[in-house]
Amino acid sequence: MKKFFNLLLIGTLTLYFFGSCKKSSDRPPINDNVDLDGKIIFDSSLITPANYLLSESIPNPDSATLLKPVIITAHGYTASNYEWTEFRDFIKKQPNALVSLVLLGGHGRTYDDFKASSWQDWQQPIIDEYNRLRSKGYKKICLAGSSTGGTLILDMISANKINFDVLRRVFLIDPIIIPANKTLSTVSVVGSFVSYIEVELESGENGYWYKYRPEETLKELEELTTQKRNELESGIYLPKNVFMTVYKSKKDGTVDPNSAVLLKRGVKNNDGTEIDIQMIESSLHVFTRLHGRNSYSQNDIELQQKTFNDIYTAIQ
Amino acid sequence: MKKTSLILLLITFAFHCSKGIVSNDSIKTKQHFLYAGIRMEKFMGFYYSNGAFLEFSSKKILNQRFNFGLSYVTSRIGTAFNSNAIPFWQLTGNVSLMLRKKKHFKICFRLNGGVAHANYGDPMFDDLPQTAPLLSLEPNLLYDFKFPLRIGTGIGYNFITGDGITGLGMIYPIYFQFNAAYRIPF
Repeated sequence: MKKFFNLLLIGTLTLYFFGSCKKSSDRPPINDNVDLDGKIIFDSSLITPANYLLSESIPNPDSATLLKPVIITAHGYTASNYEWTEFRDFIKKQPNALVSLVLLGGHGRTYDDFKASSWQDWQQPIIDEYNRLRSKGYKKICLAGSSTGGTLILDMISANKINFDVLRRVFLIDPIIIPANKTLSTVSVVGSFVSYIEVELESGENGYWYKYRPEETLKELEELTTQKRNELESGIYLPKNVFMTVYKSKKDGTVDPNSAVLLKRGVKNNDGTEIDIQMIESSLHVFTRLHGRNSYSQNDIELQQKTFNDIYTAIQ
Repeated sequence: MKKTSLILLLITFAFHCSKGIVSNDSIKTKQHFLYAGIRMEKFMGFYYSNGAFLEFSSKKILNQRFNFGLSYVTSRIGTAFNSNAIPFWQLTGNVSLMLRKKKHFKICFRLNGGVAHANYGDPMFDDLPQTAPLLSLEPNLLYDFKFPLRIGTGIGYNFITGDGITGLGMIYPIYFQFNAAYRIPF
């Protein structure tokens, strides 16, 4: 038995030693010429914000413009505005809608910027753009978030972070409440030994997604999802005259489809009725983004276009 | 009527327990032991589930080196109690290897196998996996009091977790558990 305890002690000390070996210099092998994580490639919206943010592209909207429905989009964890460019291009062809693509805080910049950011930092630009458009006088603002972007929008509502008087509709595409990979729940333990996780990107995604996920940001993501899950357990009521639609891919390998179950059970319209949940026959995470993927089917294109049309119709 | 049943149940249980408060000499004469108690589980980063368990050991089976048991826990009396959390249950059978079995403070390694089932409450989610197999290893620290109570705690590791597509999304890799049981010798 003494042997057992000795082995246990040695094992614990070894783990502690390797854990403490992690240095701030544990940097991933970033290729500046290819990776968004590097110091050369940045999200385009940082260079030409007017191509993305409505508040920048139309600084002084006229009264007719102010009556058009506006949709603010928010991308997912490690992604960039690229995730919503197909939707932006779709909306630009429509007669009666405007779109504003928000780059999350800490995203589209460098690995160090991302590492230093909190989930509240990721969220702040969505709040800022909403407030800017509201103060300009837009009457109908809608929010659309994919993956973590959706969860950040849910938090804006549940924590009353914005004034809801001009908010009309909310669309969540594959919002993360429960991750598919359950090891995220162990990040507070595993994070002591691993500085970052490398993700294999598809070739067309290079330069648009962070390739390296710092342990610190995984902890932020875990904190955000845990907090929202706890709130859903207690129940979240939408503000008056605000309606929510959740689109959830059934075979999403990144976000557990049970996230939709929790949203269905946990979010209610202001009058107590149920929100709209659409379970989508797709195996893509954020099925509304097809560009940059190695392959996708005709069915994927049809699902994307149908969803874009549904969103456009709903905001009228 | 319910109250009367509950009182009768408690009296019967107390009677069984009192039979368990025996001298060491008396315990030495008993061959078999049944442990009946409560079990609380918490997935790291997810739900609480509570329930009950039964465990059996016998001097005639490898001199109590191995224990055999059954446990049932459900989130209905955990996180899903009076909340919007997803109700689900886990039913497991287990075999435990006991170390320091003659001491008050024991170490045990428990291998659990069983099944978990979730109830999503809406036909819209019928396509999602609702049932999944369970397999976990659980080192435990146990303490046997002089009176017939055993308490234990440990960390478990689920070898089978779910992503919500091929497996039940409620099964997380690491869980913590606490249990308390009355010893019933016979």
